[in-house]
Amino acid sequence: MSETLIQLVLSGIVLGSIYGLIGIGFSTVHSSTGAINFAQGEFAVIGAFLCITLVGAGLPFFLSSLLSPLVLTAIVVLIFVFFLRRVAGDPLYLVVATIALSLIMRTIALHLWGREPLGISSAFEGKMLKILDGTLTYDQLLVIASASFLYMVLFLIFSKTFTGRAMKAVVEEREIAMASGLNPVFYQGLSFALGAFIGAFSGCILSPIAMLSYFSGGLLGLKGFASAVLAGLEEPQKVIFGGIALGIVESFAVLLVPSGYKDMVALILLLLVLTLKPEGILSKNRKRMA
Amino acid sequence: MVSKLKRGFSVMVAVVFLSFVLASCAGPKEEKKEGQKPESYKIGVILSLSGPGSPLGIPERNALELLAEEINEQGGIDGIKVELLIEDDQTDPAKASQAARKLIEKDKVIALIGSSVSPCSLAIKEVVQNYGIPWMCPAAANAITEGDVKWVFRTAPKDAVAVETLLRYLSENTDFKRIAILHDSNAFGQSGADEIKKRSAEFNLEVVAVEKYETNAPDLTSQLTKLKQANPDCLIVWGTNPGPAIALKGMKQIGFNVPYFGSHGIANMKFIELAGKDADGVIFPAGKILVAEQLEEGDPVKKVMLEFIKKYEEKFKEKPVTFAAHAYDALKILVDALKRAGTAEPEKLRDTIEQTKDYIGLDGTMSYSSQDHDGIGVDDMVVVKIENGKWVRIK
Repeated sequence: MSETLIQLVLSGIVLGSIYGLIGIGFSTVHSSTGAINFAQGEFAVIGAFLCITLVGAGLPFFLSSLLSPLVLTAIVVLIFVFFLRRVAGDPLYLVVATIALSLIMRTIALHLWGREPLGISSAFEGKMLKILDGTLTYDQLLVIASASFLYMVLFLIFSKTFTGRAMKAVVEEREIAMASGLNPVFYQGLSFALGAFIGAFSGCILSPIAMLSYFSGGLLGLKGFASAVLAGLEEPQKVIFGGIALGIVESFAVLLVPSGYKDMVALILLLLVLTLKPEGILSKNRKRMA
Repeated sequence: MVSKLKRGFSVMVAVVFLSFVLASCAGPKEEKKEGQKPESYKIGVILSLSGPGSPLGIPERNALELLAEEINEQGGIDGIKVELLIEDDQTDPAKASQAARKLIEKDKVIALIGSSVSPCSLAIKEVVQNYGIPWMCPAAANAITEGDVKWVFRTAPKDAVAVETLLRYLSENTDFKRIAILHDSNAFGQSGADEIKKRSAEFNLEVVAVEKYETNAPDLTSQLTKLKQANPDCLIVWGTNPGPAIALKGMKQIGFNVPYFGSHGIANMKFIELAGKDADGVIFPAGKILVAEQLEEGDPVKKVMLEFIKKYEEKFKEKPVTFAAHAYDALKILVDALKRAGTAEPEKLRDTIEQTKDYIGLDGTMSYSSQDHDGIGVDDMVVVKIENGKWVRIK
């Protein structure tokens, strides 16, 4: 029995780190625009596909999983400069624009990479690590490690650096921020770039595990969004914990509720948080949600 | 002045548009006189050419076009050409239903073929029942040939046949008694799992645990951990790519080392590509065409299958999958019936299709009767094992 419990916790942490990684992107973009970026799941899918293509062309996995996010970030920055910038000031327009972007990216993925799911072999030759009575593959460990690392990086960016604080300021106190010489559009673009990089990177390290297909972005996006909402959307680094909470709850739902209700658990949790504690369960200050 | 000109221009544009619309409404009226032969037989085809069902829909379209071309090159059906009107339902049942209505009402097709996945096909079934025209269905869900099936003829093996093939293999060739099921929550997975639960007792098997997963779930170790706890003799995974491949990985990770049995949903190279070396040893039921080269020389379907594979590979530069076979047989049976009936009158054509006996096709030897609108039986499926990344027929 304990073997089962330990494995469920480990599986939950893996799932949760995946959700959290996707969720960070939501929160990052939200922090400076007040909007939800519905293309976040597609960033991950295209990141994964680019990475798989690069690996297929003979590049090593780790190099590919850095190159691919750079390429996608460049593309997203261009999209921002030419299109999204015009609506970045209004969260509602921006949300609609990102829905359009997600559909376009999905269609492009379909045409470039085809209809079938894609995967690559393990980056660590399938090596596994025994933890107590459970097992994790090295590929899964990489996901958990990346989530932890990003937690620290984002914590530093958003609490210690001027740029991080400015990204939040341009949406929270727009007039004051502008009066003190901050250009909102610059910081909004920056947050999209950061969201794209993290999204694509998550996709890359997910590709040896998950075998994504062009329409996987929908489910990933939903779970990532749920993690971000659980964490309150305000502080991007906390989304990792939102994700891990969701992952563990889902994993244990398999044990506790009848089969098939597992996925409802995430949605019920999302509804409960949105109605009872809209500022998120991890947020200290009570604040309105955009 | 300028504004007047502008207004004049827009009125003109409107008139031009209107006249186009009117012209297309009126159209050249095809008033067919009694007894006069039509120029072509219009057959409506609804397939999932985009969306998640497209890995099925594209090869189905290829096979249909290949066959229609061949029939027309040989002079059509008694001199009448076959014309396929192909619609994409985008793997959306609402669009499938819309397309069916359009093809019947506007295009006046004589019969329908489609669609690729079961939910879309069930949507078409409703429409077909209302209008009353023959419908050839290449999808798998049991429900398609349940209830009122007057106008319904299926060419794919229904889930029940695939399940029976696998369960029979388990009871006759292995000592396994306690089975666990992991299935996709989509229509394909659910229908298969329900059928296994319903039929297992008949084959002396006991279902000890069942878990399901979302189609694009990134990790299945929680479900597998729960299944492992039930301590089954073997695991049956019923789903389409990539779930079954992710399950294999997860089993290896948590040390859930029991034999793995799959569904005909993994009867494709993609599964072997995704699962890699882990795929070796996996056993699943499949249509004979997957291992056509390995069939006995005496099997009448072997020659037909090998010929089709050759033609398909020449034209499309890839191996045909079983879905292509379902669509091919659908059109072939329809065309054969048209030849025999000599008319496209719905009732007459339907009766003639129902009289199809021992048609030798790509899915096996098929016969319909007033009780049976499923052409395929258990004899038409084989059990296949993956060895060194290759399909090997076993038994």
